[in-house]
Amino acid sequence: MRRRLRAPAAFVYDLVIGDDWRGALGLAMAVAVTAAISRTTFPSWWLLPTAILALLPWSVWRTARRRA
Amino acid sequence: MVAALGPALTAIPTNALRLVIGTVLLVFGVQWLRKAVLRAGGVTALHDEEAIFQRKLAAAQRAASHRRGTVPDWYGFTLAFQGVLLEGTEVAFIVLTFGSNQHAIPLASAAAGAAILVVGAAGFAVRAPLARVPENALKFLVGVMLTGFGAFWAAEGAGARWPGSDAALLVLLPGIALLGLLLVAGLRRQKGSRDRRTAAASPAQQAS
Repeated sequence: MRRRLRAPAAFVYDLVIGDDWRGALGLAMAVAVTAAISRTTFPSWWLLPTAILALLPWSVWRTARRRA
Repeated sequence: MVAALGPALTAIPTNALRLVIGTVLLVFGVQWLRKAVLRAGGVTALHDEEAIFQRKLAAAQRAASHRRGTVPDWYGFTLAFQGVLLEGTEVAFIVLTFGSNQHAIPLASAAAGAAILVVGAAGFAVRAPLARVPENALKFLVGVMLTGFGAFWAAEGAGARWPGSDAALLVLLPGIALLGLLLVAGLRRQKGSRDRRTAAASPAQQAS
């Protein structure tokens, strides 16, 4: 049973998160912080675009350096 | 799937739905965009679609066909089912989010039905192998769309209010595309200077 569940779970993990779990974790944390800021009077819309602006180049740069 | 799941999904609070689907689309989209950027920048190899098509075709032709229940070719059935389920689920999620956002699930279901007809007709009209489609450019575009819509819905689901409401997408999507293109340009420049250094070093090594 566990083996049967492991295969689809691994498939979904590979599909959504892939080989860069740090980037996925960073984005999930950015969503959580956006939710936290939204409870205050400060605007929070800017956080996710900023997270993409920081995390995408960081992830691309790390992979490029590893494969160079 | 859209018609069946749509009414059930209206029972879930819209913001929770936007938060979950938006976050999944965002993570998935950034991963796609990252891979497309790495391929376009020359860090990873572009897929040779013609070779992949021939390899998969040969494997499918070699596979023994056997009957299971009412299905005459089980291998063909599972192959088609896997592809349709995966891509169909992606489409269903996107259509449901659009539909629930606008409180118009029946309209979204009708649009999904129309899309099946259009895509089916287009697929029948253009039956050439996928090698003729610029795969990485398509993946780049899909990555930009998934990232942009994912960020938009995840932020809205988390309680953020975008300046200009839906019009923010008109800035968000080109902004993400521009970021991707700048990264591709940076990687190509880096690869070009590395290749020049390697080419310059090779004659020197041969001379010594």
